Amino acid sequence: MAAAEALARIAPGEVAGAEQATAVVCQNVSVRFVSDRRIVTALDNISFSVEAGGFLCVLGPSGCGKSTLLRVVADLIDPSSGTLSVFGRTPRQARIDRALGFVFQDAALLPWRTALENVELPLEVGGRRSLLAGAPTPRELLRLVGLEGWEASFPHELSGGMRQRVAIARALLGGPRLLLMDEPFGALDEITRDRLNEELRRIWLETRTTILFVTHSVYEAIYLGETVLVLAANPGRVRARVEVDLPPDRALSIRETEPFNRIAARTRGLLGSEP
Amino acid sequence: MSASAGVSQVLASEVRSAEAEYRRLKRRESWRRRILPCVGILVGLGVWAALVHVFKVPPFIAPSPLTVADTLISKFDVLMNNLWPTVVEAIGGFLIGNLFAIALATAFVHRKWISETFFALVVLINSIPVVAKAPILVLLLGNGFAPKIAIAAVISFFPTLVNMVRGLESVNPQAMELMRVLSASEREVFMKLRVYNSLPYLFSALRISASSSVIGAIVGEWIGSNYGIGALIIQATYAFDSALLYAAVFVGSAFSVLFFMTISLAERLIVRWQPPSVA
Repeated sequence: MAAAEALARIAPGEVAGAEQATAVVCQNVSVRFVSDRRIVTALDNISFSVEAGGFLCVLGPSGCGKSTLLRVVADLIDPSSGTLSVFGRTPRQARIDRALGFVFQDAALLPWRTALENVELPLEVGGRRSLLAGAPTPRELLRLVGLEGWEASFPHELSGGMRQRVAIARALLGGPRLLLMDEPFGALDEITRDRLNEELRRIWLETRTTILFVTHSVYEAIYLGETVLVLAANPGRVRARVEVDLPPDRALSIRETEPFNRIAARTRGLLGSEP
Repeated sequence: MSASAGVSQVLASEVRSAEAEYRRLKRRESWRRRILPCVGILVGLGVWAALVHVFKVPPFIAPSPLTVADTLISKFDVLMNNLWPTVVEAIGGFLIGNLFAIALATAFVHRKWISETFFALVVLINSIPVVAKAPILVLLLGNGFAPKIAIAAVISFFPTLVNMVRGLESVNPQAMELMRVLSASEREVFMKLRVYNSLPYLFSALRISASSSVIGAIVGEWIGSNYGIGALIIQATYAFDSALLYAAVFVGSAFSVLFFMTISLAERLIVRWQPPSVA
């Protein structure tokens, strides 16, 4: 896996001397929206951190602000209060430095571009026009996500799962140190979803890119994450942080084992309990 | 081993014959779709000829299709000499009207206040019927090509403006967020996202204005002009030359259809990414 090695090589030490132990530090972040003279608190005093190379799943019911949280980290939404740092920088600086990649629920591919051209998009906008030496090329990334031979296909010729793979390859272009994923497999059928879960674990193990993954599936969160951040809704706040003590090399069948079920039961309990 | 190879061979030959059968049905279907409309048109022409013959309709009221065909051949020079001005006016108006519409749509999308200030005015001007706009433009621009081109342009302008604004604005919100994550500039968002997104919308407007620009040119020629298909229609009507009138109408619509088909062809060549079901 040339692409994965290249990503693993450039991801940790892209900025020399700025080796950070923590990828994201979020302190007392609140987000409030004003709508119809009412103030809606989407996120209330959220604090958490993700270590570099970690895999954190944000789990919660709809309306708990988990997508909003991801958008605050990506500098798509400004927090109303609180502070955030991404590899020691502000989210804005991290965005400008291309330290983060984003995968949306809808693959958000441009329908007039082939799979390969979609992956190349980040090289055509935003002032970053060339890859760092040694960074994986768009073709290598398509191979990494299992789409070798589909480079010239248009999005409408690909299945939903394949479109998400293209979106993941696009988000990995340029070797971001942080991958933000907003329910990327939520619209897929269960079989495709399982397979992509397995592949995302593999990609994470191979590249060691820090991943922040939003989901409302308990099984997905525990299977994927090293840590699960459980949120509660109205207003969105942190309910608990669950460490997933499972081996890093996980087959899908681990979901039928005793340790997995114990963590799942505990997590589901946390989701259901009233404040 | 050999048995299973035999089975797979039988299967392969069955698949091949099923494929051949499918292709045969498909071919027949496509022929049907081409031939049946032609049959319908021929039936229409037959009914027309029969009606004129049975009721002995005098030639100054309505001609028989054969007389029209005869006129198309005998007065081919006259018809062509009058078609060219109409073609120039329609295409000129089409280009000018659509270019202005695209430019204004671009401005509308980038500066909200321009749209808020001028959209009502544009709607107001558009609500004036073409036949009412035409004399105004003739008074303003005189008797040459200019007023006809202006009418064709005005008539092309509105559908393109509305569709283009929609096409430029209706981009996938997640694609917009993606552009933001990539720190794309407003210009890059426009060139990489909005322009492509608007093309299907633009072409559906261009197909409309291809036909309506021809209408605009002809209406313009009705008022104070002695050349063009519009003028020929008026002259033939006043001279009770119904065969020439029908021939002029036929030539005008033939051009309109050709123009429409050219735009459709261009669309099919340029907008290749959309699955047919979405169109």
